[in-house]
Amino acid sequence: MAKGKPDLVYGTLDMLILKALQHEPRHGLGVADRIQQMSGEILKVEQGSLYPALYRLEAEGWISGEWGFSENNRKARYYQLTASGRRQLSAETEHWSRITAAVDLVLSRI
Amino acid sequence: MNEEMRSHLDGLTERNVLAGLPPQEARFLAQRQFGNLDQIKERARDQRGISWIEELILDLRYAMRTLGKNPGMTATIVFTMALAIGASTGVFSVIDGLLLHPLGPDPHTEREIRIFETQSPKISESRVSAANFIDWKKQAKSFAFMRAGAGADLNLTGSGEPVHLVAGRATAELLGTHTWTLALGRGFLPEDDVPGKNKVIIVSYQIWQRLLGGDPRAIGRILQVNGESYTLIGVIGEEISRFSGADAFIPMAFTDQERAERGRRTLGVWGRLKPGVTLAEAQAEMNVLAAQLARQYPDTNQGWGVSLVPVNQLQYGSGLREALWALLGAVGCVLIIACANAANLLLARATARSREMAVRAALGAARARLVRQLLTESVLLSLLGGTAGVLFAHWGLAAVHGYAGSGMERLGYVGLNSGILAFALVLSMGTGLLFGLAPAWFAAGANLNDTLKRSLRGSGESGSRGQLRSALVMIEVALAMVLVAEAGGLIRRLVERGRLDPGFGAEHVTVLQLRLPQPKYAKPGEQVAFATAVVTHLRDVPGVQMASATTSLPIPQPGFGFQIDGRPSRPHSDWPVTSAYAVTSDYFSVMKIRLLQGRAFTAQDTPQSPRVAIINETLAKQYFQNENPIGRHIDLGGSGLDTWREIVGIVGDVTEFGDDTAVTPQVYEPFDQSPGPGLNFVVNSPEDGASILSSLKQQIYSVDKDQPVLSIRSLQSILDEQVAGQHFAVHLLGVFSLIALVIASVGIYAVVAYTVTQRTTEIGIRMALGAQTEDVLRLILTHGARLIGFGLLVGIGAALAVGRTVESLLYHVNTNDPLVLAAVTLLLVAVGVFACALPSYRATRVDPIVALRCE
Repeated sequence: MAKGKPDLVYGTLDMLILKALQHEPRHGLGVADRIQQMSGEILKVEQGSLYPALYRLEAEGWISGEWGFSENNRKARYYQLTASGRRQLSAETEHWSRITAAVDLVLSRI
Repeated sequence: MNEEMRSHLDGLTERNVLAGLPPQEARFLAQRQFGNLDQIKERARDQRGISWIEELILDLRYAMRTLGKNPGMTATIVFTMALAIGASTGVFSVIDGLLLHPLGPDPHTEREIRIFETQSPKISESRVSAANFIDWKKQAKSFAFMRAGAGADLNLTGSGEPVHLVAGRATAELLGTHTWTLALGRGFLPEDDVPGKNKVIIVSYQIWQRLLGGDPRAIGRILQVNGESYTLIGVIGEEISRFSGADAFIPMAFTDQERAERGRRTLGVWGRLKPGVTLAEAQAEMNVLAAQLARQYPDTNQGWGVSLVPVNQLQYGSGLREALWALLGAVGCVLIIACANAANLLLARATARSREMAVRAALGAARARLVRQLLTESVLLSLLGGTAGVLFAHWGLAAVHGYAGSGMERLGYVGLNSGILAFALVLSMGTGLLFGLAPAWFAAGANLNDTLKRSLRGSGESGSRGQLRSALVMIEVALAMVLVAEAGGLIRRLVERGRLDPGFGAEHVTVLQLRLPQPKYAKPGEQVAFATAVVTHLRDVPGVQMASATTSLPIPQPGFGFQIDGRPSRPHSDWPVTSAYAVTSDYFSVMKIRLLQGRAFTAQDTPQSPRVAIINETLAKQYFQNENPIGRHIDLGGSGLDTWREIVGIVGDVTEFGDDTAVTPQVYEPFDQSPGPGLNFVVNSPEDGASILSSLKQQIYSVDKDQPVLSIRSLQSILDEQVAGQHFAVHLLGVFSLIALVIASVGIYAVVAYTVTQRTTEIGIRMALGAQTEDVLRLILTHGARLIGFGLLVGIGAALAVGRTVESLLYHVNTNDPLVLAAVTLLLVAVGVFACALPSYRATRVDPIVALRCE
């Protein structure tokens, strides 16, 4: 009976990217779309800062990339979470969920 | 009334005198003319009627006398009702505390509203963006005030150990409206809510006690939070602090960036309705506002609406809900058993009192009056039982608080309040009426003639009354059977699981749990360096045998998709799922996990060396069947050659302690090759005194003095916490089934004993005609056996049916365990035999002469 609560995404562009890749691999534009879907953040973050972030995350081993073909048959690099990236994301998500739940409980109890 | 009649009489007398009679004769004549004074008075009284309060008092006094004359029966009924009502009250308290009012004793009323953003059709309770909140606050007229809160990641450093605070940011109205009690200091003011002026902090009562020593002059102290200086301005009152688990609050102080990012929805928003404004009106206004914002800011707000939910309707439930409803069902059974018992005993008494009732009826008492009087007795009984029951519930809840330690903190907030006491009162009266109805009806319907005739012969279990009583006993037995069978099944399951080999050893393992904050430890290299340094330091602590780090403990955890080399590749969403642990090299030794094939991780497995992995037995069997997994490759996410890992070892399965303890596939990676920010340091040391715990923590601080340790405790306590909820529920069930058993056996005893009494004459006759002791025994026992037997049959059927429903509700456990059912049947038979024993013995001691003579 999930009530359709969208997940909270705290923190940086890095976390947003990891979150965007949580369920399936995407290429850069797909990541941008997904982030926009989740938070509208992309309006403030120019596409310019998306790719440096993607490359950095790949270098650090949170995501890994592979060439493939996009929906309209263009060559595109698809990114996917690595196990480390998954851990990073789930640790952060769990951490913030716990804080939010405790805080919400108090703030409702006024 | 007396005066009135006397003056009437005087009047008549006078008239007679005037007519010429001497005074004495005048008086006599007047009295004869008037009629029998007393009889008239009585009739007049009846016409006038006594007030119902006077009648009630009469009934009560009579009831108390009657009950006093029957101390055995009274005590039995009061005691059984006390157990049943106490258990019901207790369970209701728990349900009230955990489900109905999870926010503690009733906060405000429906005027407190939580405000969500929505995006139909999928999102119904979204958090709110800062920009939207600010616009709402400015423009919405329905709310006296509106406030917002968000989470905050705060670490307290500088004095003593670094401490992580579960904290929130809150806007000024929240704490400034002082409906919270503050133990010290003040709440936030609008001045605080501005970036630059917002370095103030309010802490919880527990933090104040623990870290500031409860210093009454702590206000004004400077605390180092996330490296900056914050002034302490307030301490939250004890009650709220105990309830929530939030450690501190800082002002919201929106940054410019937050105000600009209208699409970033991170806030919880609450509002209080203005007096006179209804929820519907407020919702309508907010809808208009939302539509307006959607037009103004289509990029972020198009399609987004608003939803208002009164705070006491918010759902905070968890999987606990099903378990609690099941408990409610169990306690309902106990109640029915107790009522059936009481009804039975009263029915037996009704027969005995039928003579008394018949006489009263003959003297002019209306049937309704008699029924009312008998109902007064039964309600009095159950009220007495209820009072004792509330006492039992109070003690019981105190015991329940013992569970509030690990894993069930909110249980500490469960207690008796006026609402629950009212419930107990209503329950007592209701059950009194329920079980008193049939006996009252039967007793009051007695006909004097029939009754006097019948008692001469000493009737037995004949007629509808007897059948009803037998039926009641069978219901009791059946229900007791169901309860004990369910509890037995669950208990057995728990015990079995406790005995299973979990695949690792938790004795002497201490766990330090940390979270490496971001962005300080964003790079994997930094995470690896930290973990490696800490593990080295931990090993050097005297008393520590081995130490290791891991990203996960053997408890339920999110799964990772994986694939095996040589299989056709599938889309990521189709990948099978495994638990994944990233561990440093000594992990398997510390946890005593068996290595079955190949090798464990060593210092040679570095970030630069080839990627490796170790799998567990289940994964090997399920995905490699007869092939040798060693040398094959597994991918835990990512593509490209460098994320395929070579399988270098197979280890034994590890049970992940939680609700479903089926064994799952498990994969281990070297921490150095796949780190994460959530760390558990597992340390093997025989001692666990305070001094060694402190030394262990010191090792963390020696690597990073500002790194808080979230918790340090034994692995066993962490595992226990995972199953605390289940254990609690099963223990309660066990207690209830015991109560049910006791009450049911009392019921059996009472019925059989009564049978003996009723059939005393018959037994006397039989013995006089030559029946032996065994014959008498057989007579009584057969009767009892028939009762119990039918009850058991019905009970087994019901237990099987219930077991199947329970299976779907609770912990995926099948309680239709033949062994348990057989054991419970035997138990109930034994109980039944025992309950029949004493009366049967008494039956054999009947002296035929006495039996024949009495009556």
